[in-house]
Amino acid sequence: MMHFRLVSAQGVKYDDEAYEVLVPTKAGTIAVFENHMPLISAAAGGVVSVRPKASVRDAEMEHFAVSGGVMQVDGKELVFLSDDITASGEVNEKEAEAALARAEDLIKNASSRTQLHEAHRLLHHSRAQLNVARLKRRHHN
Amino acid sequence: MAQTRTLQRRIRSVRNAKQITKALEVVAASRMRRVVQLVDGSRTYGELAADIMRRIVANPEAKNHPFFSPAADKPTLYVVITSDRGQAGAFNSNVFNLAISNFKQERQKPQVIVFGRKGARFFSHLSDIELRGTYENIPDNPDVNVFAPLIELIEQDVTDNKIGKVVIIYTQFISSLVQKAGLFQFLPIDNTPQEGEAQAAHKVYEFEPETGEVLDEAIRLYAAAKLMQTRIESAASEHAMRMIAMGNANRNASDLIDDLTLELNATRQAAITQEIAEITGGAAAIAA
Repeated sequence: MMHFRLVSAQGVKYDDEAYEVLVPTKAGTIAVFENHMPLISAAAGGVVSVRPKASVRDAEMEHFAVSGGVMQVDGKELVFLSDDITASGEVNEKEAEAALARAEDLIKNASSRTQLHEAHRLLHHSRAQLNVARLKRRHHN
Repeated sequence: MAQTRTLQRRIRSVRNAKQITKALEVVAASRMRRVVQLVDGSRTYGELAADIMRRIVANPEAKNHPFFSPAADKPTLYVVITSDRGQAGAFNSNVFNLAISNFKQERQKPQVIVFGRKGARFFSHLSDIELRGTYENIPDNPDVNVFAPLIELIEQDVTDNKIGKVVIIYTQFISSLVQKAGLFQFLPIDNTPQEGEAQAAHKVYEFEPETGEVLDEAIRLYAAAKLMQTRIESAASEHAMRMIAMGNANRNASDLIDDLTLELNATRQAAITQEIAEITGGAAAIAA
């Protein structure tokens, strides 16, 4: 078991033991277990999935939508920092869809590089939120 | 009679002022409560981000990045966080005093970026600094995007070797009764390990996908986290100080109303006594 901390500017979203954590990095999703080699990685926007115990089945894993960020592993502890984290329970599918549409609009009309960059972030994040919402729905149906 | 009317007018105006201070106090108290809830979260976030940065700095691979070996003898960039509105006690003047005393120690002309209307006004009057930008109407709990232009500017200038040091001047929120103007050295990163992590800092970390990309992302996150933390702490301090200042003003107004009311009663009584004396005096004169 290792300790997993998932923190955003809005506060701590997860701070407990975990058996396995799936993390979206820019080089693809990686699974982190205990005794992973020390690693600092740039995360991509996507879904972070946590298996709190080995006995927890796939369908019962906890999911969080993240907007990129940085993660750091040292074998015993995994820290994931992101500007914006949404737990699956907090995702509103309708709002996420609206945000997705807004982001697509922004990308078309962005006037500066910073704006374009932020629009892409928003796009990834709302897509991740939608994925989380759908994952949850699929498992509960 | 003329004097009683003046006194009445003064009492009325003090009573109006009292109502305003009461309203400001209540508003500040409720806004403070809302922001204080965010302080802890933003602090954890800021500290974890700084912790990751310290681990990165300790790594040999990071040494070549300009962020970790900033140029000496270059000007310092000060990011000063003030408020948009006044009536918050010594909130802004504490920050100004700390800024000025730091500017005096600079060998090169300091560069300044200000958040808040009060600070924007104050620093535009100073002559021996270079004011590089002002931001107004920043919300208490801003979106990360608010800081994006500033982060881009810092990254650019550090890469181009234009600035050697970045310092944030803000107000630390210690409790709702104690707030202190403070200073955070944002760059170069202070890599003295914190208690309990002395060993961890020496671990050799792999960077994935590649060092440059990880460092860029980590720096952006660190900058956003620290700016967010200092902004939220400043906002909480601002509201706490306004609440206390307005509470005091409210009490002073009450005292003033009491004093004026006493004076009003005394003058009114004096006027009545005088009138009676005049009437009885007049009657006595007629009778005589």
